[in-house]
Formats: sequence, C-alpha cells, structure tokens
Amino acid sequence: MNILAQLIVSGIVVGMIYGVIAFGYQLTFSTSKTLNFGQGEALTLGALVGLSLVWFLTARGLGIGLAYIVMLPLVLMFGLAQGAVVERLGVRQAIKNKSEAGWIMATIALGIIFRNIAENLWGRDALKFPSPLPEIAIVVGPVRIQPMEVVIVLGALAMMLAVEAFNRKSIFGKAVVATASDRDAAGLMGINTGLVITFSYALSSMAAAFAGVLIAPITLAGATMGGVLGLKAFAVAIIGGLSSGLGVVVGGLILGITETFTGYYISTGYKDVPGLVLLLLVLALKPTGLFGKAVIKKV
Amino acid sequence: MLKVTNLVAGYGKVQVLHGISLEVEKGTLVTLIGSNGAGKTTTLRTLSGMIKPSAGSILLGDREIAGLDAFKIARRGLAHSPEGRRVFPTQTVADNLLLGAFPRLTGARPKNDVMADRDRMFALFPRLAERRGQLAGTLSGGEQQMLAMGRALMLEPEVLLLDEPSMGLAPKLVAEVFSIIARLKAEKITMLLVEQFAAAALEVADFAYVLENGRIAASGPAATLKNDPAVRAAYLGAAHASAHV
Amino acid sequence: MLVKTAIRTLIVAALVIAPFAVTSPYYLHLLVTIAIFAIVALGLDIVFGYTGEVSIGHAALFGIGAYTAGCLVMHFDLGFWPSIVLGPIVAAAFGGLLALPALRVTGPYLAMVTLAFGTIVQILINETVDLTNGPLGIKLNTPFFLDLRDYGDTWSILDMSLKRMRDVEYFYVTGIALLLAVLVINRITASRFGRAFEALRDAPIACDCMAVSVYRHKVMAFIISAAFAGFGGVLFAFSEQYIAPNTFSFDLSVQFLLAVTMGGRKSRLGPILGATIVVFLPNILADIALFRIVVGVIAAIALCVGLYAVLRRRDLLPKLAPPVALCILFFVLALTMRSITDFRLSIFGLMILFVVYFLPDGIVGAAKILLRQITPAFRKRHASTQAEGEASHAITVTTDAVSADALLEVRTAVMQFGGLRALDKVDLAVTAGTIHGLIGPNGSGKSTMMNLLSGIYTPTSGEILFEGRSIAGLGSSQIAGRGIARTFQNVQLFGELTLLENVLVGLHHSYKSTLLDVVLRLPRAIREERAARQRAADILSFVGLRDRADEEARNLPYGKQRLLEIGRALALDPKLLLLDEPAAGLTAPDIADLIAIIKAIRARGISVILIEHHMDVVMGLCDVITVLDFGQKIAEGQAAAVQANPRVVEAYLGGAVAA
Repeated sequence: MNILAQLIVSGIVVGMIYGVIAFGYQLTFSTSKTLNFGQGEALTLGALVGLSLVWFLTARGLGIGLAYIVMLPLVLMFGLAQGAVVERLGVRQAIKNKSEAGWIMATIALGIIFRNIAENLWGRDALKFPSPLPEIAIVVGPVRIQPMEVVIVLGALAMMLAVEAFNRKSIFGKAVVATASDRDAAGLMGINTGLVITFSYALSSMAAAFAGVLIAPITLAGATMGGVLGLKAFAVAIIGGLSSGLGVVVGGLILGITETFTGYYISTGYKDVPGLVLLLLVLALKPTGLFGKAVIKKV
Repeated sequence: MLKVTNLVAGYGKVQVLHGISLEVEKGTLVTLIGSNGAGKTTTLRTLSGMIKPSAGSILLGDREIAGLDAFKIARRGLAHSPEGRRVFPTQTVADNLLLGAFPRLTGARPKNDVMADRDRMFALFPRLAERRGQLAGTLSGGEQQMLAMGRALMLEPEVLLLDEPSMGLAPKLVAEVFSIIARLKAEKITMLLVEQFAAAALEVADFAYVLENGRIAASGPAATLKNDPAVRAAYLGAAHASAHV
Repeated sequence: MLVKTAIRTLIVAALVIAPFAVTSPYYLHLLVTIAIFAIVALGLDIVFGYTGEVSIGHAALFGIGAYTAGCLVMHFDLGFWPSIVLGPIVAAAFGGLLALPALRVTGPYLAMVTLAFGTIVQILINETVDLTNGPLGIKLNTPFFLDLRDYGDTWSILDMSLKRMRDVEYFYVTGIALLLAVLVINRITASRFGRAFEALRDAPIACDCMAVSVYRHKVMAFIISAAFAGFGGVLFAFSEQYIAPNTFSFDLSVQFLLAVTMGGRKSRLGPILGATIVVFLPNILADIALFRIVVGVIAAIALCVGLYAVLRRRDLLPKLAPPVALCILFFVLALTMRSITDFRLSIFGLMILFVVYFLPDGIVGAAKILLRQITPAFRKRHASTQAEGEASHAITVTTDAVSADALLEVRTAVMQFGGLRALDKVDLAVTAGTIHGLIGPNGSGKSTMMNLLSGIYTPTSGEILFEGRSIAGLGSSQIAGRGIARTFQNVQLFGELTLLENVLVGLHHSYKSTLLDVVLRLPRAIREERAARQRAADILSFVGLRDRADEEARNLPYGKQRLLEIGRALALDPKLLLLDEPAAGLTAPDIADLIAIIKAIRARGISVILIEHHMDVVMGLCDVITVLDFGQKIAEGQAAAVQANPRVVEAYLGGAVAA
C-alpha cells in the first residue's frame, strides 16, 4: 500500500512535466497545425540557461532560493525568444508552401542544431542543478515527497492555468483562440495570424523551458535531457487529444503513473515502453485522443 | 470610398476574375449579382485580402490596398462578413463581437466606445442579446448570420462587404436580414452586397453590377437594372422563369 | 527516354566495374553501404515521396531487419539466405503494427508515432539481452558462397565447396539487391498501386470516392517501405559483420529522410544520389581540409549553375540569389573554422534546413525544373497506349436486372452540425435510369446531401438504402465500391497524374492482380493493365479528352477538368452518378458538351443525381426534380410542376422581401 501511494505520487510529478510539454505542443498545433519536433531541445536549453544563470547569481552572493526565483523570468523570456526563432526559421516558410514534410524536417534540424550547441557550450556530461529547496523529504502519511516535487506540480498547474486565463480573458488571448478555430476569418478581424502563430511557438517553448528548470533540480541537466521527455510528451498529447487542455493533464498523469508502475514492477529499463503502447492503443481505439473532438471534413 | 480597377484574381492556376472594375460611393449600398460561379464571392475575397490579386488596383478611400494581407486591410477599415458566416464556434457571442473590434481594442483603429457599440449590436440583433453568453457554434444558421454581420460592424468600417447574408436561411429570416440591411443603409453605412437573391438585392440597393464569367456584364442604378428584361432573364433564374408560369 | 536508358546503362556498368576500379577495401565497403542506404531510401521514398507521410522510424525498421539476421545467426545458426527472406517480413510486420493505428488520422501522427517507435526499439534491443545480446551487440559472418575468384586459377568446377564471401562478392550481392529494389519499385509505382499512392496525396477525399481507400493504401505503402528497410537491414548486418543497438538511432532515421529529400523525391536516381551523399558525409566532416574542398566545390558549382541560369532567364535572379549566396558564405565560414568535429551535428542540421528551404524537390527535382525552365522543350511524360478504341463500349452498367423500384431511397435523413440543421428529415427516392435534379438556394442542404450519399458525412439520423441495402455509416470507399460515383463542386482531380492516369485510378476496382503479380510481372498483371489503359482511353474519348490523355490534369482548363472528373467517376462503373454543379464556371459551348454527355450517360442506364444552378440545364435534363430549402424538401416532381410551385418561387425570391 505504501509503495503504491509512493508510486502514484512519483507518477503525478513526472506526469505533470509531460503535461506541460504536451501543453506546448497543443498551443502550436491549435493555431498552425504544426508542432515543434525539437521541443525536447527547448526544454534542454531552458534548463541549461537556467543553470548558468543560477551559477552566475549564486557566485554574486545570492542565496540559491533567491537565485532560482530571479532566474525564472529570465528563462521564461529566453524560452519565448527561442520559440520565436524556431517558428521564423523552421515553420513559417513550410506553412506558406503547405509542406508537411518541410516543417517536420526543419524543426528536427533546428533541434539537432540546438542540441549540438548545448553540447558545445555545456559539455556532454549531465550537470547537477542545485535545488532551490531543501532536499529533505516531507512525510505525508505513507508517502515521502520532496519539496521540489510539490513545486513541480503546483508550478505546472499554475503555468497552464495562466495561459488558459490569458486565452479566455485578454483580447490577445481571444485572438489566439480565434486564429486556432478559423485562420482566414481571424485575418478578416484584423488579427495578424502569422504573428499569432509565432507567438504560440514562443509560448510553447516557454512552457518547455519552464518544465526544464522545474525538473532539472530533481534529475540532472544535460544536452540530452530533453529528447526523451519531448517524445513522451508527444505520446501524452496524442493520448489526451491535441485539442483538449484537460486532456494533456490527464494524459500526462496516466503516462506518468503507468511508467512508475512499469519501472517498479517490471524493470526500469522498460519504463519508456508503455508510452508507445498507450499511444498506439489510443490511436487504434479513439484516434482524436481521449478528450479530443471529431473534426468535420470540408469538401 | 471603394474603387476597383481591372482586378484579376483566381485560385492557383485557375483565373476567375478577368478584370473587374467597380466603385462604391460613400454612404451607398451597391450590390453585385450574377449566377453561381460567376465570381461574386471571389471578388469579395480578393477585396478583403483573403486572395491576392494578380493584377489591378483597389483603392479604399485614397489608399491602395491591393496585395496587402487581410489583417492589414481590415485595419484600414474594410470589414468582410464572409460566405458561410465563419463565426468562431468555440467562443461566446459576446467574444465574437469583441473580436470584430480587435483593431480598435489594440490601437490599430480609433477606439471610441467598443462596449457601447457592442450593446448597439445587441439592440440591432435582439436574438444575439438573448444568447450573448452562448458559444457561437451552437447558434442556428440565422443567428450565426446576424452574429457575422454584427461582428463585421464592430470594426466601425469604412466599407462593409456582405457575402450572401441570405444563404441557408428560412424565408422569414431572409426578410429579417434584408430589413437590417435596409436599416444599415439608412444609417449611411457604405456596403457592397453580394446576393444570390438578385431581386431582393436590387430592391434594397442603390446601384448594381452584374457579374458574368468573371467580368462585369452590366451595371446601373438598381431600379433600372431590376426592370431590364435581359438582366431579369439571365440572372433572376428560376424566379424569373416561374414568374411567367 | 534516351537519357534515362543511358543513365541506367551507365549505373549498371559502373556497378560491374567498381570493384576493379576501387581496390581499397575501405572504399569498397563504403560503396556497399551506399547501396544499402539507397535501398532503404528508395523504400522510404514510397511513403515520403508518393503518399507524402513522414516516417522518422526507418532506422528502427532497418534495425529490426538487421537484428532478425543477427538473431537467426546467433540462436539458430541460420545464415544469410534465410535472413534475407525473413528480415523484410519481420520489418513489414512491425511496419503494419505501427501504420494500422497511426494512419487512421491525418496530419503529423505517423511522424510522431514512428519517432516514438524508433526510441522504443532501441530500448528493447538494449533490454532484451537474451534475444539480442543487449548493448554488446551481435557478431555475424559474411554468407557462404561459391568463391568466384578461385575458378580463375584452377577451373575446378567440380569443387563446389562453399567459402565465406569476400568483400568483392558481397559488393555484387548488394549491387544486385539494389538493382532488384529499383526494378521492384519501378513496377509498383507504375502499377495501380503506385497511382493510388500518388492520387491519395493530391486529393484524398476524391481518392476515397473512387473506391480507393486512402487508409488502406497508406498502410500498404508503409508496409512495403518497411520491408525494404528490413531488406537493407539484413544486408547491412552481413556487411558490417557486427551490429549494436546504438547504430539504429534517431539520427540515422533523419539521415534516411535527408537522403530522400536531398536527392529528390519520386525518382529512383534521387534517393541513390542522396544515399551517396549521406554515406560520404561523415568522411567529409571528419577532415577539415576535405570539408573545405567539398564546400568550395559546391559553392563553385552553385555559382556556375546560378550564373548560367540567370544569364538565360533574368527573372530567376531573386529566386536563385539567396541559396547561391549562402553556399558561398558557408565556404567562407568553412575557411575560418578551426575544427569541425564538434560542429558535425550542426552542419548536418544546417544541411537539412538548406534542403528544406532551397531544394524542396531535391537535387534531381531542382535539376529537372531548371532544365525545363531553361529549355522549354524538355518536357516528359511516359507514353500511353495509343490503341484506337470504340467509345461506346467504354461505359457499362452492371445493374442486375434494373427494376422500376427506387435505386436509392433516403428516409428522414437528418444532418446536424452544432446548432445548424443542414438537412431536416429529408426523403428522397431515385428511380433507376433517371436523371434526378436536386435544386434549391445556396446553403439549402444540397451539397450536404451529396456528402451523405457518398459517405463523407454520416447522417445524424435516418436511413439511406441503395439497391435495398443500407449504406448509412459506410465509408466513402465502401460506398463507391457499391456503385455510387461522384464529382465535386470544387474540382478535385489528381493534379500530378495525367488524364489517363486519373481515369485509371477510377478503374482501380476493376483489377484483380495483387501486389505480387505486379512485382513479378505475371501475365495477368500485364493483361489487366493493358485492358485498363484501353478502357481509360475509351472513357477519355467518351468525354472528348482523348487527344490530351498524356497531359497532367492540373494543366487542363477549368471546363475540361470538370469533364475529366465525370470521366474518372464513370470509370468506377457506377450505377448512380452524383454530379455536384457540373456546369459551374463553364462556358456556353462547354455546357452544350456537358448536356450531351449527361444524356449519353443516362442512355447507358446509369442513374444520375444532378445539383445545378443553371436552370436551363436542370429543366432540360431532369426527369424528376427535388427542391430543397433550409434543409427541407419543399417540392418534388417534373420540371414544369416544380417551376409553377409557389413555395419554390418564394424560396428562390427570398420570401416576402421581393414579393
């Protein structure tokens, strides 16, 4: 029983990270029907830039907690910029040419380049990311939780809620939603839909960078940390449905918990496998995802 | 207000408009009629920038807008209520109206009182007021058409393009839509109306152009064209044919 | 044609001579690797080039082929020959497992699923140590074979003892394998399957409505492609003689994709060229001096080609200037770089970006386009059968005893979209052998009805019976298979196919030959193809387009495109033909042709449902007319009666306003 609860909690923590990254996929997919195959690298860069900032700030005498807080907005801004670059270089032209292969290959290529840059700047080894909170587990009943794990869950939720609130309440957010549902009609409203798509990429990479600095303190930071996470988030996005905000949270939790269970009861080596199995099952049974809506074909 | 000269446009390699020229005077209602496939909708789509023209000029006021992106043309003050209504289905009626005023809310056009204008739209279309919190996708066809018109009006446009506002509506609703168009005309809103119901359109318009195979085949005051037997025969379609029976 | 034959002969000759010219075992091995990569890339091209789907999992399928060989050797002591058969089969099976769910949805799903699959396969190979020996990998020996070079000395033909194959023999094995791959792919792409792959990319909905299931053919293409990847994998395992999980990584998948894109899609030469570049790339990137030379040569070529093209055609300047400038800039960058080993991946990434931006059609594609632009005479399209035919036999109806009963019966059909009720309890009965008009103002539900009848929509409620059997809820391709063909309001042709090929896609259903028949070129396949081409030519004569049979459909004028669509629909041998505004946008003489064709169709016993706004067309042709308004049927009957109906008059005038 104890171990069961513990596994569920660990699963929730990982699942929320997947959820945030998958949320990023949704943002770009809804506005442009494209997504960033280098999303994992956006996470990597976010974590590594965050790490360098934390190093820089603690070297200037700031406490680790404060350094982490000062670092956050800077990393988010870096994420925004990185996403905008990906959209401008990799996606814009391909959307214009209506070439699906084009944006897939271009975002992959940018991902490769970013990974290579990370390797050259931060080295090939995984680095320790100092935890902003004490690494002493809180004991809640049968479960031991790291304070940072609580921050991950809360931070992830806060991030998604903030973006949702922006989309619902502000006129710019409404413009994003309008672009997502009908790009041509949004253009007629005077909305610069090209800019909205760039913006959605910026937000998407920001979400990934945020996920990077959230997870790095409990794992390690390194040039290859993002690849597998980005991939799992794909699975989550499809399981939850590429159109549903609730879907990515639930999808993330399902995948996270399944993985910790697989890791414990079968073998840690196999813990990446259930993602694909779930992915194929969902596609076979409900291709639009658990929470997705069917699309009406236009003839 | 709107002056189009020798406009050429189409989709991909298929050219649909072969040099259209027309003019909409400030404060008038001009209608563009013609059979299906003549290029009416294409004309409006080209004017609002949804399609890029391959040649020709479009003057809005005294500024050239041909070739601009749709969003820039909207910010210059050309509103387009498109064919098929194209409301934003996942957003509320109230939000759809606000989005119509996007350039005003973001400083690209004079702001004035957006909220008061939204209330005016609710007064103009009482059915929308009842459903202000409802998602637009759940509205009936007639309500969606009113929403699309209201949304376009929220721009405080220099010129309003209306594409087939009667499409898919029950006769009673068609009458309602036309009475609203008449009211807008009385308010001196400059409009270019594309209609399949040529007779109804000619009834309400000041001036009319007849489009045939991507070319202007005839033009003149609406009252004159309405009684032109050739126009009746060709473009009032079944209505004309049946009128004799 | 002459150029093609010359290139082919040259390649075969080069393959034969290569081992004599390239004596270094290292470079011979590179050539073997190129051949293997080319096989995988050619296979990938079927998915990527023809159906337009992206797979980022071909390295995994390649690895599955290699590991099938490895496991057979390690566990069962079976060698090359069983592996070369089983490897493709196992890889194809895995391909099916992936494609069946992933291709149910359009969009980037296949790319995402294959990407995940690639990672999982690597993990599985690492983890299932008992089966695959895990990270340690598997050692293999080259296959046994008659040692060719012994005979030169001894002529001991009786000595049939088998020896381990050496590199030269293995080179020939892979060379033959490559030629076989080219041959097989040529046959597939020239068959009805290849046409289906191309058609589904151009116009998926139309493809389904021609009884050619988009889903099924995409899956099929992926499985064929996977089999080639597995085939390459087996060859690779025996060529390297050692396989380990790390080889079959994401990066390798991207390399295969790059090979196809850079070389040029939908060609044989392209992927081979691309594979050559991709295999040589690591060597170039390992040596800064060599790298500078290669980049310099590329920049020089780009400059020369660019200058030549611009001198011939001034207007190409803005299009050609950026890539040429980038090539030169890159050369300057290469000169300033101290070391490249750390930036190999970045250079690889930049190459992909360059290809995506400036060479979207690949080297072969760009060369073709450039040649065509410089010398307008350079146009090609394979010749069709120039057989003369009698048009009247082209169109046949296979109705089993046409009865006077309703061929099609729609009962209380409702179609609801959100708050919109596009069709509201509509009944419709079409008698066999008649032309049934469907009219009404725009947005009255006519097109929705067409989409219901052709299976694009499933009715919210209500029944649709065709020949007494329910078809509501069936997919488009199934309904098309039952004998309902249609045309589209906004013409949906297969633009990159010729007119003849467009009609041949419609005739897809008439073939019985399987993929195996096509690959082996059995008499049945040849006979069927010849017969189908004859019929397609006859159908083109029927719609008056025979003399343009070999033009690409997208180059036809609009009016002719509509006629071609009707021809394509007739190829389905339909019992019911749905025509959605066939006269829209047509000129008067075209309309006259159209009326004659529709009459001829009815004369052959095919029933027609006609949506049309040209009232003269409707009134002149239709036996019965149904009028829809606001999603409801408001009148039905013969032309004169319908015209006189006051409700119809009101609907068309827009109610009280104009009254």
